[in-house]
Amino acid sequence: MSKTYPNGLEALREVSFEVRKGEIHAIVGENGAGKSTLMNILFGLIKPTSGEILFNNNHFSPKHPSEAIDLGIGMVHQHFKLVQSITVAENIVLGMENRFQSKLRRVDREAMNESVASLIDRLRMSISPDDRIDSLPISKRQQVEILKVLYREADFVILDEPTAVLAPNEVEDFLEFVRGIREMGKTVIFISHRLGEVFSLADRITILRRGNVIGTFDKRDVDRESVANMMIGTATDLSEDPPDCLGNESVLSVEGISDVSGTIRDLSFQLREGEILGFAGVGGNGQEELFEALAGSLRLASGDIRLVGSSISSLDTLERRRAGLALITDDRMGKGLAPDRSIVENCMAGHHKFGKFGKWLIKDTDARSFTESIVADYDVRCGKNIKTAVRALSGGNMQKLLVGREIAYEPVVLVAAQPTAGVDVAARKLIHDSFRRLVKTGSGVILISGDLEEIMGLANRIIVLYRGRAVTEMTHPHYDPTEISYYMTGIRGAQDDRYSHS
Amino acid sequence: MIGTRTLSFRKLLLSLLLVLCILSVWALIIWFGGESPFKGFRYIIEGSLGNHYQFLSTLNKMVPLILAAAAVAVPAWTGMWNIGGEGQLLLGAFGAALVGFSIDFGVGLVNIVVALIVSAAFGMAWAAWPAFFKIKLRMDEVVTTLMGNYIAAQLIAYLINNPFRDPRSPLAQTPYIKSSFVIPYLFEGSQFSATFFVAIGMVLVLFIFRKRFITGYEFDITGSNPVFAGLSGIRVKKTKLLSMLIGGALAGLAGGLLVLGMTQRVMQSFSPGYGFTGLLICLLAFNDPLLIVGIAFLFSALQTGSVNLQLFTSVPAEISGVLQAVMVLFVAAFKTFIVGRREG
Ligand SMILES: Nc1ncnc2c1ncn2[C@@H]1O[C@H](COP(=O)(O)OP(=O)(O)OP(=O)(O)O)[C@@H](O)[C@H]1O
Ligand SMILES: [Mg+2]
Repeated sequence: MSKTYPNGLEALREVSFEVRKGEIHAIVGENGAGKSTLMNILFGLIKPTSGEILFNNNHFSPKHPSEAIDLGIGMVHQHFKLVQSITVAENIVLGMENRFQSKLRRVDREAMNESVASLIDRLRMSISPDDRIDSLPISKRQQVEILKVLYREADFVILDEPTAVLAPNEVEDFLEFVRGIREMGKTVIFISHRLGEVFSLADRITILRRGNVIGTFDKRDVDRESVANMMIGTATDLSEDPPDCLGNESVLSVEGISDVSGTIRDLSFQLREGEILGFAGVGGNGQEELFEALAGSLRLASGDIRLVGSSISSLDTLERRRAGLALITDDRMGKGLAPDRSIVENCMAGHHKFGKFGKWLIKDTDARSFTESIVADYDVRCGKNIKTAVRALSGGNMQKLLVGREIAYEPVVLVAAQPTAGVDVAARKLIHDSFRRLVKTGSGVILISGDLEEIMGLANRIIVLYRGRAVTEMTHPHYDPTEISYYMTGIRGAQDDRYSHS
Repeated sequence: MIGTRTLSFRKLLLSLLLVLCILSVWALIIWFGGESPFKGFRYIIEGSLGNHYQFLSTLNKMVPLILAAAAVAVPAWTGMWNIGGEGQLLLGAFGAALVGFSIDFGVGLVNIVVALIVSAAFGMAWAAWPAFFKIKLRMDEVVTTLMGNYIAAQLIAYLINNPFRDPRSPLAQTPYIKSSFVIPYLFEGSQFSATFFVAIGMVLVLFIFRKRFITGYEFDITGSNPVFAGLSGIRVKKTKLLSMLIGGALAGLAGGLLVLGMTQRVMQSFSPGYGFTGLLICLLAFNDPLLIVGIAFLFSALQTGSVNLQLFTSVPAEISGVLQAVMVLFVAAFKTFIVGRREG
């Protein structure tokens, strides 16, 4: 299989691999290695430049995903493709709603919701068919994507980085769930950057590097280190320790904030200069609201937020950025980038308010050199062309671009939500190093992440969020992952929650 | 870079096919109208470009079309729909006429500039309330701007019937503007005037504004992803409001130029639907100012050419509307193939 994109980029170079019936087959590789491209070809979303596919020993060249779906192939995409404004059940049934139509073309919603609810029950997930997609946290949206595929009774399931947005305990449940799919006799292709997951789940592993297949290995014949080396070509050190440059002054203080909807309740904390403060928690426990509250796009019912002493609660996003705040959102496609616009335009956004490219007229050379330095510093692989649309970048490269742009503010406080979601080992290190460099200059970082390993390796202090409250706080080096997960799941610390709805 | 070239080659082929499709359906329609298509095309081309009078008349007709299309394009950059060009244009025309028959500053140029500024301001005001309702009450601007057209038409009908009716005229129309407000014709026997250069100038300004100015860049980012724009510190509501105001001003200016450069007064059925034709042109031009000029030229040539067609054949001049519609249909159908798909 080969694929050259219209812009001349060779994403796949004559790769071959084979998936056996009933196995979980992991595909690993750095950002931009071509994993999503390969899967999109299997699913009929894009056409290969050359090569062929045999599916159950029959030639198969899907021109459209519907042909793949007809053969029982289902795919969960790296970037969500859900309709925001309709319910879970509607999204899942979408395209098959005629099953529930009466002769008068009226959709029987009850039957529809019931059939979706029965699937949800069988998988023991906690989603209601009536929830609107835009009211769900990102981890729940991921589950809806998977439900959608399983609902179509796919026998061959492609999962493109399904765990990138899940919290640790959700990941364990999810892996169990994927094993369950295998037990049902289905075949799974699983893509992930987390080798731990890959090793606990996969039967066989195929390694891609820059558009080439390095090989397919039985899990028993390789270990983590060797796979990591084959992916990148060099050895990397996977262990990390938080930076050590704590100052005394507080750069950000949050005093008893609650939002109007009551998702975050009476949250208070201090961030000191040179500190990385981690927020751990299962997705949907107030992380998004915390981010929005700091960004200035969420109405607060009470409380105050102070940046280096002065209140920013009544400022809008622009004024907060001027005061020294930078924001890495966890929704890069929806909120962090304009995918249809070029890399340059995406890098300029926000910085243009600081007069970096002129007050009225855009100074092209300044915009270019600014962009080129971000692209170079953060190793954004874009075929050297900064005029390409961001949509053409691989997921991880988009993320690097987003992180690079926000750190380029040299902020006093950086708020980073899932900064390494879908990023490979090397890029993850690069992003973490950039955080370390930032705190050395006396800035503070709020790190909201579902990745416990990341938080424990980076944060000086961890606050666990549960149902919008800070239930516990731990300081490096007294981290205990089991303890943290108890707090995250409400086994500890939440007993005195008077407002609990459960 | 082979990939790029094959794709653009494909695009070129498709564009050629598109033109071919349009021309053959046009030929068919003219043939049904009882005329040989080749002769028909010849009459249209001769009638629009044949001699310099006809050419000038084609250019002159472009003025309101260009501006009305730009009035849709600028708000579209930020993701707003301005369907109200027609009403804004009427208000603008009235504003210019009002200044023209009631005030005089003594100097012709000053008069003209003031009248044009007032026409833009009137158009802007008519775009302001839908924009305001959208931003404050989240009322859909498609509905409000569209509704605004009908309100504007009634309002103007009232104004030219009662308070501002020319007392010496049997018809409902305003008095003539004073001669010092008139933008003179440049050539004997043609209505072509400096208004054309004003329209072209505006297009160039808009083009540069979008490509080179910080605010123009903000327009594009807001239109592309408003949530992202907001998180980047762009004031999304303000930006959308501003784009609507500019759109309204452009439509108003179109009305003002029509009054000062041609009609010299506002009468019943002042606009034969410039606003809506502008909308079509803008859609065909994908909101791009330079393409707008090209498409407006085509539309305008079709209109002047069709008059000639009617003169020499049995085909009615209204045919130009049908031919336009064919063009719009085909372009809409081909659009997805030429630019719509992200991936080849
Ligand atoms: N539509 C496109 N047009 C041009 N190039 C593209 C397009 N989509 C992807 N690419 C390029 O193809 C290469 C492979 O991208 P792909 O999305 O398959 O990577 P990936 O292995 O899934 O990476 P990640 O882990 O970051 O998601 C990248 O260099 C990317 O920039
Ligand atoms: Mg990918």
